[in-house]
Amino acid sequence: MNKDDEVNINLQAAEYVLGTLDKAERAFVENARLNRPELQQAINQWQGYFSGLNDYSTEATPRSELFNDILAKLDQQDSNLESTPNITTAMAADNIIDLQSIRRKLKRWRLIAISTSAIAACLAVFMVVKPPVTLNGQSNAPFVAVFQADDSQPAFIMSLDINTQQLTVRPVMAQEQAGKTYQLWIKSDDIGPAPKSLGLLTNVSAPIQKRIGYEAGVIRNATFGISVEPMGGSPTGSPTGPAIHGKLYPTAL
Amino acid sequence: MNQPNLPEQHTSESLSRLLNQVAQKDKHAFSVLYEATHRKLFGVVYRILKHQALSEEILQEVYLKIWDKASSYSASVASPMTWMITIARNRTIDEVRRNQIPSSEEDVDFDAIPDDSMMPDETFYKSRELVKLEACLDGLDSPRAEMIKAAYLEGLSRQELAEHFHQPIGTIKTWLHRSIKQLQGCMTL
Repeated sequence: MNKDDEVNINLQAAEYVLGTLDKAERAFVENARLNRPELQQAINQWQGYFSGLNDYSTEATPRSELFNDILAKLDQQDSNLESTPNITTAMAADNIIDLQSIRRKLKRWRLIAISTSAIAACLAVFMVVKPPVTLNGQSNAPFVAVFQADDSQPAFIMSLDINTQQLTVRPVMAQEQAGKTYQLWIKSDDIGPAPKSLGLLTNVSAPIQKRIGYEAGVIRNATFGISVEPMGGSPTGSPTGPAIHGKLYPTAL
Repeated sequence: MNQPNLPEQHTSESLSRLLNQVAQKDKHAFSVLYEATHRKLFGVVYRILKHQALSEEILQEVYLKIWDKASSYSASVASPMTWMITIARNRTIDEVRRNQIPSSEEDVDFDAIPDDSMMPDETFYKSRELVKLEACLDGLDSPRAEMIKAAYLEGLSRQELAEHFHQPIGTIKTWLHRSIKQLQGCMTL
């Protein structure tokens, strides 16, 4: 490398670190640094030289729930990357009680779920909802789930488009709880014996959209639930906290 | 290593340990790291964008990148804070350049750009890196030190610097290159 090359690399690196390069020049340096160790080394050097200026950046505060949103995105990434069922505990699976027999008794509602907990130790209850067996001509109809905190007040409403795998969870009466977060789960024998997380429902002030990375056939026969978990989500990978009750409704009969 | 404005309980060593744990996908360590560093990183991003919601969006991406790239952190190259701030600045600068938007919604208050003479020693801790850099910046012709600080801290492009310093863009480019060459010689002493 001659002297001119060295000077040019230094100028490129310093301006890249300063941030004064335009879009095309930045893109060029970003690409070139991958193949030119001397450029990468110069960038590292200038980052060190200018790092003292970071002292002047004063602290600022983002919204308090931002970290939960970050965790939710990580959780979603994990969920999308999952290709095989995790090893799960029978205890977690026992949290979900499928009340198909009750569902069959309801003529107008073809989606039902109720759950109770089998974990006596913590008195946890995990709420489940389950879509019905789909009748001919109704496979495209979206499903709507109502998650009720008690007999009269819905906490969440969830709409589910099985074909696009798109879930929209709209908080209704759900309240944020200090140090806690809501977590959405899916349970299906096709993906293993225990519930799988579909991510955190971190911001209860706005609708939350999620795309489920499972096939329509799996979703159609799956159960869904929302549990209350410690901040950051279930520490065990399975629902651990108390849950709210819910029911699923078809939007077409 | 540079250790700007960190909570007392965290050091470069403790942050390095946290990054190592994050590299092992330890979410608890990630939450501790976030708590220790997010205000500083948000301050860096917000100073450039001056838009709360957009800055929060960028900060999310920054921490997702920290999660993904923690295994590539090397304490021999940079301190943990410098490494994380670099990620935050790069993502923020990319945002303003890529979208061709002004680096902030507000006019830059040049009176607020750090001026060594205005800063009482007892209210501001200067890292060794800053002391050395400012000694070198002091050797630049006026107002080039101010220009360097504005570029780094406010994310101003050459065009924006030209407007603020009432100079042709060619002059700004010349100032930048001469300043860089002079700083290079000074910083390696």
